[in-house]
Amino acid sequence: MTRRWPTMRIMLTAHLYFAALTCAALLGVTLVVAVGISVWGEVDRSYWHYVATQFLRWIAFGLGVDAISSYLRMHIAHGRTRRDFLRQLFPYLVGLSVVYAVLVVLGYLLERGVYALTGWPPRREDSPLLDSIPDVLGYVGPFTLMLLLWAIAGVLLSAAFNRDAVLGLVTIPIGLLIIAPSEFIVDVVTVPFLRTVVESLRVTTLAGIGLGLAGIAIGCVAIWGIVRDMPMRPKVA
Amino acid sequence: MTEIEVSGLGKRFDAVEALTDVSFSLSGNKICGLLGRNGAGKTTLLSILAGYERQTAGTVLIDGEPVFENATAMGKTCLVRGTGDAVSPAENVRDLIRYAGQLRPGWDAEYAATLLDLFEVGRNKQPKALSHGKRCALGVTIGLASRSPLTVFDESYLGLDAPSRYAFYDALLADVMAHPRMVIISTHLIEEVGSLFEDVLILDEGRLLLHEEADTLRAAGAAVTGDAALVDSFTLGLEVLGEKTLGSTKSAMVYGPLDDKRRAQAKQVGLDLGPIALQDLFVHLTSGGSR
Repeated sequence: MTRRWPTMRIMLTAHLYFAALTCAALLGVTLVVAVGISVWGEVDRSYWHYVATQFLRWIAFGLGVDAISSYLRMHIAHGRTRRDFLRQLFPYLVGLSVVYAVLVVLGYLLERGVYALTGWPPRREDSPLLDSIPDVLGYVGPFTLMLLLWAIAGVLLSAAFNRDAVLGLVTIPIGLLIIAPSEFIVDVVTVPFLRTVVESLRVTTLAGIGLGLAGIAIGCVAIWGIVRDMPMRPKVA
Repeated sequence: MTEIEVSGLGKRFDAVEALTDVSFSLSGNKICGLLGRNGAGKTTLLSILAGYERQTAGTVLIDGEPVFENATAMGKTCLVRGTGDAVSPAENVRDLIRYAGQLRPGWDAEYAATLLDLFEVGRNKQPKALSHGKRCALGVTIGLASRSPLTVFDESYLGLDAPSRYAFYDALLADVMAHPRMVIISTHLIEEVGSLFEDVLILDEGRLLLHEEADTLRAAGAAVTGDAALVDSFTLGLEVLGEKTLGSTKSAMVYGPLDDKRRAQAKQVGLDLGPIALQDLFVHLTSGGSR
């Protein structure tokens, strides 16, 4: 039986399960790493912070790529329009980013609990301090925005490369511009190419959020421009 | 009842003109064959019909509505190209079938399950873990169970083994009888599937070469079978498309109508006259040397 926004439901059910599994597995790995380090040295930082700020955004990017390369094709093959897909894509990306951001914060909280139980010292200033409810909520928003920007960049590049390799190459700088604000939003600078630029342009968190929202708008317009009449070429066997 | 109206259709890929001024109309619940040599433009035509591609010239209407990005027209069509596009490599067959049910208003889940059993497609496997034949079986299952008013198979069952292909033909015929709709089949296995066609379209080098009822086409010539010497004598002066000899018996495909006098003459000397094979006619019409 068909229901409203079926493609969004399909992608969310498929990827939320994946999100929960990935985060649980990654949190387990970071705790094992912390235990390993505690045997030979001192645990002085949040290892989940590395996953939260560096690893998960690549997953968001990959899921953005997959949305185009797998689900757009399936959607059209079942007699539905590109416009209908895009209408469902953006709520899906927001939903996915919110869930990942909540999982990120849960990861911080669980890690914090484990650190407290084992008597390891509180983490240093390079990772968030989630001491109160406003702290927790304060991190869900920025992480949502960061993951959303990366997912939108994934969708954009996937759509561009699916359409034409040259267009894909031309779109890479736009993709970098879209994800750039995420470096301010969660206060990490890790993309090598952007480090110099971002450091020199460092802005307040509020301005970073504003730039992030602008990035979303630019990404949505660019995606619409590419996907609205994208041909679906036969797959090579 | 589905109606297709194609007028002055053109499609260009950079410097390549894939389709040029293609016009035809199809209506009614029937099975149509789309024939053409490799690169003739069959897949491009079908892709435009299903809204996978936008044409560069002309119009394509399904039940009076343009197709590209039109939810009403696109929703009436299910095109299965090769092993199918409604397949994500990372999902298992069970999920793909479930998704089809969520996306296709006319989806028949029970029938899909029957077809998967018929073709012995494992539900827990991902498409990438299936053999080519089983992926084709999954594709035709999605096409048949979609129950779309316009169901199109673009060489989608060629990877099936012979028993599975015959099972597919039987399933197709039974389903079209039970749930009348228009089916277009693009194929190179003309001899095998030709008997199903009620209409035939032949594309050649991006142009529509012929659109005719299959019975009219079959009457466009005759298969003359009998003693080799008698066949040779009878076909003298006629356009012979092909010949097969077994011992002293010969069968010759002649192109062009045979009048009553000729037919009586054949009967008198003991020659059998049958309908011309579509494949021989297709080869005759599309092979450059004899055009």
